[in-house]
Amino acid sequence: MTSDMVAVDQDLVELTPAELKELEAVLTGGRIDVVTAEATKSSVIQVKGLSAYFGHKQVLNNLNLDIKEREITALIGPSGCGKTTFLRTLNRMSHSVPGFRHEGEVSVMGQDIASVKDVESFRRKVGMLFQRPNPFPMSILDNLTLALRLFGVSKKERLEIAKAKLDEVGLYEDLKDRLHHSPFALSGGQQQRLCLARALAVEPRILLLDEPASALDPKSTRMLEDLFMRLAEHMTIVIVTHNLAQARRIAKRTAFMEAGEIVEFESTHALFTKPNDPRTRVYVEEQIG
Amino acid sequence: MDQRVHPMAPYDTTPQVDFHSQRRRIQSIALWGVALLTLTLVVLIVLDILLSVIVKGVPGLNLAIFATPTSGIAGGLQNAILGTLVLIALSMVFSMPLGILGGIFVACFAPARLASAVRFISEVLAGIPSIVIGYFGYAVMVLQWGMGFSALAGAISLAMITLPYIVRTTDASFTQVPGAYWEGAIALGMTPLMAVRTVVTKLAAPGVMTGVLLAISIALGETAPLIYTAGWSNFDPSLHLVKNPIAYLTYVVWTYLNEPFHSAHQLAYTAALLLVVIVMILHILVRLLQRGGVKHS
Repeated sequence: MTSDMVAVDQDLVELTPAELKELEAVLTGGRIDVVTAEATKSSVIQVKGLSAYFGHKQVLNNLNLDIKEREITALIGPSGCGKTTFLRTLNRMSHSVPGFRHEGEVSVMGQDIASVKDVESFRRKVGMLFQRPNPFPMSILDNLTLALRLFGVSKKERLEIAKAKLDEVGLYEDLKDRLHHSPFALSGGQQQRLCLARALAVEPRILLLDEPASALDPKSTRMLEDLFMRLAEHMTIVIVTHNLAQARRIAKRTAFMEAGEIVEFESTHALFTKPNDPRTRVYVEEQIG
Repeated sequence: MDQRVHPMAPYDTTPQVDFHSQRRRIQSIALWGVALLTLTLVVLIVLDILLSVIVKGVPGLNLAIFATPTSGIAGGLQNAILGTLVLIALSMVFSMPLGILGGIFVACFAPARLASAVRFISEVLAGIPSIVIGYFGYAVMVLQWGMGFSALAGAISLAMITLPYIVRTTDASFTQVPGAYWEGAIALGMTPLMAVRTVVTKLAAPGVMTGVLLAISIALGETAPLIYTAGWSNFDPSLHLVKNPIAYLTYVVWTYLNEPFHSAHQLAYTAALLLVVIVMILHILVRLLQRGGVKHS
């Protein structure tokens, strides 16, 4: 742990989200180098010697990292470095691409992804949000309840979950009278929050975010980031981002990837202020300017 | 036009083509001329067909046409109208489920190699001349299977014509749905089948419907495969789908124009008019479908 990180003792875990937020504001202007109950957190994703290939082309080379539960981990790096492939390997989305295969061990919530039998149930536990908002071509309410309906959740329960999740992403007040309307009339930011609510509706424990704010304006981006930080209090989030400032704002740890390898995996603060590897330094400095 | 050049512009942005402008203008006018000429030709031909069908077909149009069957070379067209509807409906019973499911399979589920094999076979089927399909129907269904000239033999022959068409349009409609929707559904823990059935189908449906309507209009205009398989009957279609020949509109157009009688010619033109009207209605429906799209998309 670096000395300029703000260490907070374990009592913090007992704080309500509102109090936590207040504290965050008091602390370094949104920076969350707040270390909460570090020792009690266990790794929810363990990656050992992961290599991946599309056909003969190797896209990931011997990745090793542990992702801790209930915090945000960011993956940064130049385009084509394999961060998205890595992210999509975690919920086995990569495996639906013909020709994809992986070597090494990826354990998600204690289960090796290679041995997952019921991929669908597994994906319900590992939700995903994409680069562009992709609401389904159906009403706002149906967007939230479709998957639940297919999984056999009762109508009453579905409606309750839909409302709760819309509320959780801060859309309920705006949309409560428009639940049967098309989601395509919403702004990009609202659409992305709707997609987030949709992902949350099936109660995932891990959320994978693939550049979730790259198509959004700064205000919507901040709104989403706040949401992610609140969600990270009870779930694990892995985010791929090209926006280094975003990684700094929300991620507890950051991995810098280049050419299919993890160059450096550190606490976000350390990675950005004292990068160990010259490649990281060059990338971080060039990007920030 | 704004002639200012940005002070930082890396090179001279003033137009370089002045020298050729006269030649360019002439080329442009010439091309426009050719385009307009061909367009006029196409429109004139279509208008000519439409007008002659209307002019010659409308006088024969009366209630009796719809209410009485043909008797010899006179009478109405009730048997042919109903027969055409029965043949089309029955052929769609075969080609719609097969074609749509086949198209979905090719677009969403088949491994790449199998998909391209199915696409190839479907293209080959589409390329077989309709008279060959008619003859095949005659040899296999009418004679060998003992169906005789019948609604069933005719409908199956029509289905063979429309099947590859429906497969192709369904395949294209499902392939065109952006992968993001499928991924979004899969990421929620839906099975591929669930994702296709709910989300993807919703986006592909208008395209599929368009394909089906166009397939129907193709089937409406077919004569060759029916000559050998459906036969002809002066009676309205019955529930007997085999061993009972059935009447259809294109037969009237094809056969009655060769008869040396005015009443026969009149029936042929009226039948042609009815076919054109039905096809036009179908195409208007297609346009409406394409404009409307799906709700919430």
